[in-house]
Amino acid sequence: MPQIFHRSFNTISKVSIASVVILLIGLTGATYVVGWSPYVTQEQIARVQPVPFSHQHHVGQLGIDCRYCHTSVETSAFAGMPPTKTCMNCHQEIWFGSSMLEPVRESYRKDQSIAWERIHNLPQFVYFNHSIHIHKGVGCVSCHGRVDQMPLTYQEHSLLMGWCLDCHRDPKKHLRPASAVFSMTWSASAEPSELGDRLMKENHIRGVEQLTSCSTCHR
Amino acid sequence: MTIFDTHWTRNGAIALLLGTLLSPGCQQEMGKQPAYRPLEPSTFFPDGRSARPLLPGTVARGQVSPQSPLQTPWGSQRSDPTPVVTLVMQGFANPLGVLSVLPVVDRILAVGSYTAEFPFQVTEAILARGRERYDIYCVVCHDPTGNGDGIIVQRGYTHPPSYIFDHSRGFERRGISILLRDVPVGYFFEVITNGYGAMPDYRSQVPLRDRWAIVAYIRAIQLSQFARVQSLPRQERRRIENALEGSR
Repeated sequence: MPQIFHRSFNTISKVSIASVVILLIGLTGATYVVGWSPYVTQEQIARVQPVPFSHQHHVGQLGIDCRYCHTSVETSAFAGMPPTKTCMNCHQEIWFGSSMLEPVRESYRKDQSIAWERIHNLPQFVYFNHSIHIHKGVGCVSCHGRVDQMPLTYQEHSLLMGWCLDCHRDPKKHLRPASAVFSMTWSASAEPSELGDRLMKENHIRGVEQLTSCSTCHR
Repeated sequence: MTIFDTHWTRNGAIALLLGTLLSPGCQQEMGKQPAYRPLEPSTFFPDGRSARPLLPGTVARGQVSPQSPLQTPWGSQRSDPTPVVTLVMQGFANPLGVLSVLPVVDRILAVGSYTAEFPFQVTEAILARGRERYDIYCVVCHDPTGNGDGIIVQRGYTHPPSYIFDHSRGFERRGISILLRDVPVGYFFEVITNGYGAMPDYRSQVPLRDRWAIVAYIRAIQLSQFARVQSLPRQERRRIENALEGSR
């Protein structure tokens, strides 16, 4: 009986089996690489906005407090985007002729919202609340990075679940005294090492089991 | 006869299995739900805003009553016209005296109608809160000392009056010359709430209680500039004396 397959099929079959395995591993790897890349998470990518608003200028150079504009950050889940009226508090007199600021004035004149590009987008199956993080002693800079050094605003971290859990598993390192929560420059290195433990107790931070429970964030 | 006997159910089961396996790769349906997130644009409402204005007559949970002293810069004198009426009567009794009386009436109407009382007890905690809020919303123009040399003023904004040395512009316009140090607290509350001159209103940025706390802190700033060395605690007094020694 003649052979059905030519001798060379021995090699071809081995190579194809091996390449299927390699391909599967490669595809899985590529999915992770692409899925965790800034292409998908949008981290470190500055967005084009209707007005090139600079946090570097307003926070870094002028020293305006975060809460001047993001007024609801201490009391609600949403930090609050300032209405155009807040811009006009100063810009009715400062740079009032600037063409760069024309969309702001137009918005104020016509009572139409400025369509700012949203930077931080959590999936809607995630529950996130700004005020509780503020009151437990997590600083703005811990999640948003050095906003005072951003000419155009971008997302500092990936906002992937693993990134959230990094802190929820061990919040101690990320806590600061209430007076430093809104500071961009405060550093724990100048503080006594037991500060974290003290704040854990004072601010009644819950145990890791509760902080990493599914229903804490997916409710 | 099993469930897979018919053509249809078998094909259906295969399609369902394939569909289930493939679907996670396509869309994040749970990540992007039809519910609006705060300030998300809307295609439904003509103005494109998903955040809707409150309907007239809406009462928010925990809203402060319009009659609450927290809400008003005016004192109780406003509803009591007796002194004004008396003065006007005097004016009629002595027609030549009207000219001299009218400014007094105005003064009573203007200065006296503002409340000189805080709507709640001012404690150290209130002052601390006031300081914190002042440092967020007011320093940008009024600066930490209250002299009005804040960073925005340095960039060209109208210079506000100094809380310590200047006269009230609001009262000056009504022909009354009164130092901001001496104006009733209700006046500060009114200016924070409604703005005055170049100053915009802060009613939407600063809640009621915080406005009063800020007023209390402004009073503290004003007092601090005229504190007597003798009234300070011994330690502070020594620090000042040492500094003075050093400068000699």
